[in-house]
Amino acid sequence: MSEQLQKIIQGSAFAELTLAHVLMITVGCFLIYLAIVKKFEPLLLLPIGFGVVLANIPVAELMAEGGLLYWLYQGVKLGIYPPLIFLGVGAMTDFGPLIANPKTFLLGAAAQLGIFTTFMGALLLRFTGPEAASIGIIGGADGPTAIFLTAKLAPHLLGPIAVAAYSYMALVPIIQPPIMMALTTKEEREVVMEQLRPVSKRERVIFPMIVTIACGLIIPQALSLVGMLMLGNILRESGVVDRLAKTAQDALMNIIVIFLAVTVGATTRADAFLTPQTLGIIALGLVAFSIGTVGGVLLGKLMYRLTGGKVNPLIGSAGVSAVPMAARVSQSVGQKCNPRNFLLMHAMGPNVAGVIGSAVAAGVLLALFG
Amino acid sequence: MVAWLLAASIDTGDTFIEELIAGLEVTAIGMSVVFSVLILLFFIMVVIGRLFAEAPAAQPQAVPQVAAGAGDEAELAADVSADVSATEAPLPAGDFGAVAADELAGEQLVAVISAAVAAALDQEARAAEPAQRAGQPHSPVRAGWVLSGRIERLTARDRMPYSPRGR
Repeated sequence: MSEQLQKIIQGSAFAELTLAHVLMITVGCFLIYLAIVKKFEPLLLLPIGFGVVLANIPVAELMAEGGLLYWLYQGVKLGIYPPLIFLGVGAMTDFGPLIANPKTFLLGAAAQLGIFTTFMGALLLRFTGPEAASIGIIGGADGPTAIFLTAKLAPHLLGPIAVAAYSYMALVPIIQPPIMMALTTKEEREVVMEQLRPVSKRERVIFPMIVTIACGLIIPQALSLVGMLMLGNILRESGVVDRLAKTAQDALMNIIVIFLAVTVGATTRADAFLTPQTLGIIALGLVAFSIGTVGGVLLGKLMYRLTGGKVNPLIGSAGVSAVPMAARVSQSVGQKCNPRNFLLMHAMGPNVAGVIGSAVAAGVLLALFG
Repeated sequence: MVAWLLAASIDTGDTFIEELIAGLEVTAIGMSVVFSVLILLFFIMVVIGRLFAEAPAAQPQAVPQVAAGAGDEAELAADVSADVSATEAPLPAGDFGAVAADELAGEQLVAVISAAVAAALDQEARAAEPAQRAGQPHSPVRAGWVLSGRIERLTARDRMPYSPRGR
């Protein structure tokens, strides 16, 4: 009896528990706290936080070869989950505001400035090219794209990059407004934009085809992301496969989010996460986000000037993907200055253009360093 | 800034400058490609928007005004004859058609022609002399029903036996 009890005690994880494990479990609990109490991206931070806890309980070795999370992680490693997430995102996204006002494509492009300037900063901080590219993509504010690129270029940095990307996406309402206020004048923020024209069904169906073919021919490396995004969208807009569209945006999306988030959380093991590099990545991620916002707002200001005050520069900040959070931030900042101003639909244009832009940027980096 | 960069390059051998240049190259290439792709999409969507955009809702066509004048009677007669010829058009074959045609050939045909003439004259009169409309539009059908209802009530009252009020 005592021998058996001793065996169980020796086999328990307490014997192997270190301070690093305790720290990581605390980090996991903190992410869960942010998700449940603060409601910061709960759909992602909750499973990520739980994955952190699961991976840092010693002895269980869920992420070791043969463990449950090891097998689920193969979907991340092989680049399967992020495109499937994009399929769901496409099935949920209305590209109407972008089609109605194609000028906002440019805002989506300008906001990718954060990716490349942070890439440069990471290079100067002695990260390798592929690592710097993976860090820079945080500035795209697009979780699946960041995971897709990092899994291919620098899988050892997946944990910190994913946590940084999703944390900053959750913090968009805190990070962006001061930058937007600093770069714009009151007069610019008060601009009321013209109502968007109605978009025909034919345009909505042609749009995903055009984007897929154009992006696929120019940057084939981005096709698995852009192609899936547009497949999801054409399922939605065609109106003939409602069942598939609903499955893609609901059941399939939820299943993949669970697998992706838990396994990404599980990559943040103490030995890989608690390093000075992680702090550098988190700091650079903030820089990337901020510069992306600056790029979008500055081009918005330029468009304001060129159009004679018809474009509100605040919608430029929505170019950093983070759908639809960034567009909501544009709306709330705009409405603070002019309570009768409704920028949400106008900001959705650059917001969804940012998704395409960040996928293209990921394709460029993959082409250069993959 | 330049001095700082030079100092950094001296400290680290030329790698700092090299990395800076490499980073700038990637930034320039990357931003150019991203802008090129999205500008291309912008132009394509502008063209598609011009080709396939929903046409604005069509303006309701102005109702042709019937002008009062000398030639109106001739036009009116032509309209009426057109109505009559439409009414006299052959009905679908079969028993029902034959019966209907027989019925229309008699008094009902006269009634239809009279109604058409009356409607046309009424429309012309309204167009020529705009009048202030009543608060509740007058409906001859409704008035007819109301009148017959009143007659029915009065007749029914006559037929009822006398009963003093309150019993």
